Amino acid sequence: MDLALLPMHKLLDLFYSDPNLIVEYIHSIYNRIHRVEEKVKAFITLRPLEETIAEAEHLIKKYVNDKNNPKLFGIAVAVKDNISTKGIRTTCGSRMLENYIPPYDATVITRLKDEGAIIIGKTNMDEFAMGSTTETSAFFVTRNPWDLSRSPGGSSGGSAAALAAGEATVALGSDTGGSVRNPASFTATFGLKPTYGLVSRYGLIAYGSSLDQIGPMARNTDDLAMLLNVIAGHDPKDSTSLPTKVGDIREEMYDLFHREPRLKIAIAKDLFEYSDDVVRNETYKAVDKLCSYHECEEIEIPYAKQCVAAYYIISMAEASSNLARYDGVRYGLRIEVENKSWIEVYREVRTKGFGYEVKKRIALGAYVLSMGYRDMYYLKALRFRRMLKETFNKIFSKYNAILSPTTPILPPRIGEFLEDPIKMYYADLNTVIANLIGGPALSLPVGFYNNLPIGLQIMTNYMDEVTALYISKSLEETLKLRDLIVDV
Amino acid sequence: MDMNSDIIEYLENLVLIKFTEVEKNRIRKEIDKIIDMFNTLNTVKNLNDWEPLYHVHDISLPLREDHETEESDEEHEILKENTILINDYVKAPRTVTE
Repeated sequence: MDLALLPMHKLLDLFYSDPNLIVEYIHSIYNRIHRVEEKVKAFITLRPLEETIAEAEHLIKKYVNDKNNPKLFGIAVAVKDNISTKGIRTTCGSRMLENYIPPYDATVITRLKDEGAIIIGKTNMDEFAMGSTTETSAFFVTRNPWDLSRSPGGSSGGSAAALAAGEATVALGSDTGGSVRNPASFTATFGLKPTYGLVSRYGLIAYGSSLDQIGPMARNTDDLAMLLNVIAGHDPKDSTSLPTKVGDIREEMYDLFHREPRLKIAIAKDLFEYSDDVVRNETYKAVDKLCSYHECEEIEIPYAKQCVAAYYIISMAEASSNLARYDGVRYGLRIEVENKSWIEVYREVRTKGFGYEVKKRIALGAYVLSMGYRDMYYLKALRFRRMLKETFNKIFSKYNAILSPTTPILPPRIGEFLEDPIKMYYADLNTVIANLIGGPALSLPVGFYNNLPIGLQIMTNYMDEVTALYISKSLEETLKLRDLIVDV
Repeated sequence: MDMNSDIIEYLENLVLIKFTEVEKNRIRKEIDKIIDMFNTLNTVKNLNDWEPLYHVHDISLPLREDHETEESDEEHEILKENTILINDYVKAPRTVTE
């Protein structure tokens, strides 16, 4: 039995009865990494085996006589490289932070460690999370384990590829406009963007602060819910964290799953119509399965295509402000400062430290905020955001969930999007809505076309992650598309 | 909207970033399409009837008290990792240009 291939909930049962298996499991994970990583290239930083084994042995000793089993006892977690990890390099996929070693842990990392997780490494991503393919990383391109000539999506592509290739049991990503769900969809894994404020952003390196959320990634719904249980909850260190008590999300999901309530489900007609035929056909098959039990109705989302414009205006504006801090003095690339003025140093650091996509988004963000254009673009996007939120409040007063394809396309070939960035922006059409309105959204695998994964997105109302997980679990039971690991 | 070279130069100064010639050519090709995408918002009716939404939660977010920390080592670690330190002083560029 290869422990690296087992789902987390089964591993935990094994580890609770025989903690010593954790050491064997960590060895098994690293064996797998050594076999596939050269082809997949999911990790920017992989912790040395000796270090993680020592951590596993320490955990075993610590909990051997403890009746309180930690919720992630010995589980190998891959973490996106924009989440701060004390003592472990955190690059954000950028030359700007190539040698940055955070002196503190993000709140989500503290919570993982408190529950006995072992962080095995930091995963590749689009630079500062700006991209949907993991190709804008300053270091290398990550490959989709299902087809190495294609992208695993992004920006959390490293985390998703690591899961699909069996290099980690669960992972963390971050989602500003679909960066957890898009790679989950392209790699036949599960990804959830939680309600804005449910998971602390303390220690997450900011891109678009009003949109960013850290989200769990896994190979099945149970593991997704268990990981969310650990990272969700109020954090006084993040002023946008919601001051609400969070119950046991997995237990609540099972409560629904056993009671099997009939839901009212909305089918986002426009988002299906805008999708490629193969994606539409495959996702409709999954929808049909759900609608044979639940009550489904087609709905129209007014101004769906304009969501992409509003999203990019707001995210670029926020990025231009958030990334102003990288000046090489407080943060960022160090360069020699002899005989240079402040302005020269700032400019040189920012020019050398950022890649093209980041530079472009910072410049456009400054443009939409600059005098004369603020009203024309930025304020207009914010007005649209209010309108969209009210529209979805009305939809969720009638329906429990909204279904759509996660992405309108199949995983793109490496390089395909770099030639046509507008195509890349419009591929975010289905996912940006949840970020603009702040609600939860989950992607799960529902089918394949020529061995390329296709995902379905479930959007639910604020703080109703449980319904999204219930629908995901129901479909997972029907389709049996779970715990998929591909040999590369 | 014509994103001409002057505007690119203006933005370069605004954000303190230089684009290479290759990057400038690339951004010139892309920029019109991106601005066209932004302008699709003009097709939305009665947008001015809506107040801008800066934050998705209409709640007043709590502020926390500042507390003096005893972990001054952490502050030092931050400086050590990210700046050029000489005897605990941050080495900075010249403030006066000739």
